[in-house]
Amino acid sequence: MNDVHNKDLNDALKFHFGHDDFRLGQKEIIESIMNGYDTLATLPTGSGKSICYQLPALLGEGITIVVSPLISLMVDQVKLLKAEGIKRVAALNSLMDPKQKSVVLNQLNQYKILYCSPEMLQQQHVTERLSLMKIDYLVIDEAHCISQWGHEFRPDFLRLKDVIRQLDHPTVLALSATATPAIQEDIMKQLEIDMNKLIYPIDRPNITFSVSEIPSEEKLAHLIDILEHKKVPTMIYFSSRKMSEFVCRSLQKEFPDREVAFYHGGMEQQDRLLIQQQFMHDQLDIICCTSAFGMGVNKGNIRLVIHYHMPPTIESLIQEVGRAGRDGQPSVSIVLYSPGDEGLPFQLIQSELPSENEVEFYLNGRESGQNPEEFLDESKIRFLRLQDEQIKPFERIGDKKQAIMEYRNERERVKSNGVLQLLEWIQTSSCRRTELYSLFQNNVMPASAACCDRCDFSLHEWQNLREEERRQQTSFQDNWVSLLEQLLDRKVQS
Amino acid sequence: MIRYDDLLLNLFHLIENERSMSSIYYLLKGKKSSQTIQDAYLFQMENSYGILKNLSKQHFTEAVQRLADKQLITIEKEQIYLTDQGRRRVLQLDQSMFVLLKGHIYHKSDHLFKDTLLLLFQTVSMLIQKQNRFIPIVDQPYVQTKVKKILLAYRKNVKQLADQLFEELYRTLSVVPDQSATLFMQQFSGYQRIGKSMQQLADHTGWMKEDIHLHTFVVVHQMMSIIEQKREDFPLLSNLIEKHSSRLTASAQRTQELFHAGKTFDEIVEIRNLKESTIQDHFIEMATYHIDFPIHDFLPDDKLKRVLEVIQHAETKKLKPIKELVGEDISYFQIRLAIAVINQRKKVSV
Repeated sequence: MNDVHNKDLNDALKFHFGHDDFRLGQKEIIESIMNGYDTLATLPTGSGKSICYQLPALLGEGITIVVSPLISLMVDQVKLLKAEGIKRVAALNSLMDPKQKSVVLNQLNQYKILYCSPEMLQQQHVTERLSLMKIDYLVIDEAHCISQWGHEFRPDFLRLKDVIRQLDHPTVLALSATATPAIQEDIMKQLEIDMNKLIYPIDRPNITFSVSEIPSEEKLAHLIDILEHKKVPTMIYFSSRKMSEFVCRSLQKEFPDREVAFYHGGMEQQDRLLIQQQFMHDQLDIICCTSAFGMGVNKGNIRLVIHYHMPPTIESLIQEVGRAGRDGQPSVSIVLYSPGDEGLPFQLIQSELPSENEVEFYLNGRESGQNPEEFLDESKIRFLRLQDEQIKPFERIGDKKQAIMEYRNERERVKSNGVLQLLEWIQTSSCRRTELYSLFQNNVMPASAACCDRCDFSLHEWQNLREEERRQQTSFQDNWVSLLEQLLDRKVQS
Repeated sequence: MIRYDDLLLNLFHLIENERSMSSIYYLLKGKKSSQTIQDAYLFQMENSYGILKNLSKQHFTEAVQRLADKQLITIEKEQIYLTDQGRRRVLQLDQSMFVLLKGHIYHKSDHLFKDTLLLLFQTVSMLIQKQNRFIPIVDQPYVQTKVKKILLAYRKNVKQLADQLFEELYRTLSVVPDQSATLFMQQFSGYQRIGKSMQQLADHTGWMKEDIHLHTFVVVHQMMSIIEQKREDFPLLSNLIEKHSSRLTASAQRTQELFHAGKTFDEIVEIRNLKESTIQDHFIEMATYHIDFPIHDFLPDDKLKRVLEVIQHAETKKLKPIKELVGEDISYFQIRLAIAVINQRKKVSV
């Protein structure tokens, strides 16, 4: 396909997505896969990663399969594409009931893009169906999940190399926003294919970094101080649902003239959708949320991202901070840290991995034909099941246990290192921008606004500068008749 | 104005001493068990059946505790007792506001009605502004399909659709109190305005989320009954409610009309010139689908009771063994009516 001309691609971009120009890297990645090269690409979050496969998919003759680790991400992508007017897309995941799945599988030729969870691709009837199709591209989104060195290792992803073979090796695109050089190498090693590497810097010159180290009992007051003069679109991340609600209420009281809402995974779907859309439509000033918020959030003018708690990893920090200033305007990231905050991420690691006793309990239970799974957490079961399967060669339970424990301890080490790395960053005395991004790339661009509190930024001075961005007013005072008239653009005949 | 705590207190008053507090939890959740359904009718609280389908046990327990903290009730081993203060409070409650809830009739269809209306409204509001790319505010595929069908029925004549929607909404909402209608409309999304969540409305009014939920469904149930009373007056909104009565066959409908006009069974047989067994079948249909079917006209209380007892204890649903057990003086027709009434309750209520 060497006849891909510049103009054709640009026209297609305009036609399907309404953009005039490609952003950095998009065109190179698109051309690489359209020319049939297996490609590994990194692009910063919010830079339009998905267009890199969506456009080729729409231009191709067959179907494009996108493997995505998070179901919510998948569902959001399908929704966004449909809202763009691109209807020939579908998702296939374990949350769907058998009937919904078979509807999708029975009309595969209707789709240009099929989002698929990795576990669906483990099922033979799915791969058999897919292998009958002409598959243009197989896209692996969040490809760092394939690497055990990665913070988000997903064992399911390891089996993708078999899937690629079963599907007669279509052109593969592996995408990530947070893959260190070591992980990039590991992705290729695990997939067992040689790939065209297109590595784009993930640093964001328009974001200023700042960390406030304060005792935890002063956090709320400090937060209120920061927000006092900053009436700008703000996200505040929390590591617990309860805290997001609690702080939201405090801010509502403190700033009665602002719209503050909370968002977390414990809310009903309908409410989540409303809050997310209000934020996108500039009807909210401040959103207090957990990491559940953010999938598919495509809002350009977020000026301030605050982490009320330390995030679990450096990668999640980069990802969440990356939601700020997508319009290129100066934006600020503030992490509030109290000594001891790291306890929670460490605890989280322990709660996700089975203990030695639990491993033993699981293996013995399996041996004696019981069902030990009833007593274990979901994430532990998934871990144990896969390990049990992968280390079949060991006959003796003792050997099996040892092998699982070695592996478990390795995961613990990788994850703990992630926390320690972030802790180091919080306590660093050198430039935060350089420290943060040099883990992922060799050169870090100079800041386009203020750099960080270790270089040229003073939180104190900045926070006293009054900033205000207009929000769309949607009053609670409107009565039903005026709402009806306004929204349906009609008048009651008197 | 209906409030969650008042509703709870009133329900506890209705079942006092006789049922545990969980029975109220199951009632509000709309549990599909015959115990819950029978209790709903037995204690005359069927209108609250299934009106808080998403209620969590924890929230319920918190609410019960709140009533206890206000010294309106005491809790003893899962049993609720009203205090004197609680009793006085119940007497002060305006019972007419509870009647507006119609959980027993609409618990199955009210969420679908509301979701379809939300999405239809958003779609129309966007389309009249020529915005055809937007994120649908309701996710469920079947709701989206339903709205698409309605759009197709109007052959995409958006202006006409907007006129009709505006007019029908105005007419239905004019009947409900202003404050409730406003709380309801504020949840709607459309051009340049995303609706408020119930949580936000609760925060704004200082009420609880459950209060907003109840308000919303009082409005929904009122709208639904207004529309169902005269479907032909609401050519658009009536599409959002499945027809219950249409389940009657055309011939049974004719029989029903005559029956409602005051004709007796024998008269109907004569007027319609049909076999007695055919008219019997029509009556079985009516008893199955209509909650207000006057079973007592056909089966005196004591006999009905006897049949129900036998059915409850018999291992079988077959007619013959039941007939043998109930005795000579009860006919097959009467047994079938009794079963229909049981099924009808299950159907309407489950």
